[in-house]
Amino acid sequence: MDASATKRRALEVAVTAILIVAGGGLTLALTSGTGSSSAAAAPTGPAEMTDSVTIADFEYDPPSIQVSAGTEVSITNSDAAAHTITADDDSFDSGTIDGDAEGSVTFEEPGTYEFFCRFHVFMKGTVEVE
Amino acid sequence: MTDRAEAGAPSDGLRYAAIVAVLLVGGIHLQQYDSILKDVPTIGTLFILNAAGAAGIALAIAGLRGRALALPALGGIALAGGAIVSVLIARYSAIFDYSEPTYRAAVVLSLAFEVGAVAILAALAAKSAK
Repeated sequence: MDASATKRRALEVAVTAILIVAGGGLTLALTSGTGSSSAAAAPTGPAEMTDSVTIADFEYDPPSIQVSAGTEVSITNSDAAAHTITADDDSFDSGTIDGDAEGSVTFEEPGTYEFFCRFHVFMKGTVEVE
Repeated sequence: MTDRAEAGAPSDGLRYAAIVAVLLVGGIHLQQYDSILKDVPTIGTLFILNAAGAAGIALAIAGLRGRALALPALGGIALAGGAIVSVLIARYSAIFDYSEPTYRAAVVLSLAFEVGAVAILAALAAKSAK
């Protein structure tokens, strides 16, 4: 291989490296701050009396809720991915809530239930139905 | 590099197309990792590994010539092909507790990039092996 071919190959590798760094940096710059830094985990803390739940960054907010029996809870899915609120014991299921869409689920029977997302089973929450 | 190694040299245009195709695959995985998947167990890690792997393969395609190009081309096919299979598994079942029940825009774009990359890299591998 002659010197000009070696130079050309080095140039192509350098240009590719620049594309990687610049493209990666641009991607991170354009999308940074849109995700949370905490991992989805089992809910902790006291239940919050509410009739609405937001899903964002693969987490329920609030993760623990308290409602009266018969309450319809509205669900706002702020993620791009679809989610559900589904009881561990199958006693309730919101059905599929598409990304950037809204849904609802009604809690009929008193008791304490754990729920999860059928599509992302690491997402967990609890509801106390009074 | 020997004449034998250069014997099956693909055109520069094909190599450049392969570099861009692989970087697009890695780029959309990096974007999805940063924007929504960084908190998702295992899947988030796999997305960042895909982006890193794509960067390495692009550099190898830029730096290698002749029959040696077949190796990164096959690696790229495995990377993009694996991503296609993973998306389809997530669409109809679950992979590492993660599902993609809908074909949201990023998923469609990712599949288009991956299918394109497999086609271009297959051509590169075939030309290199001659």
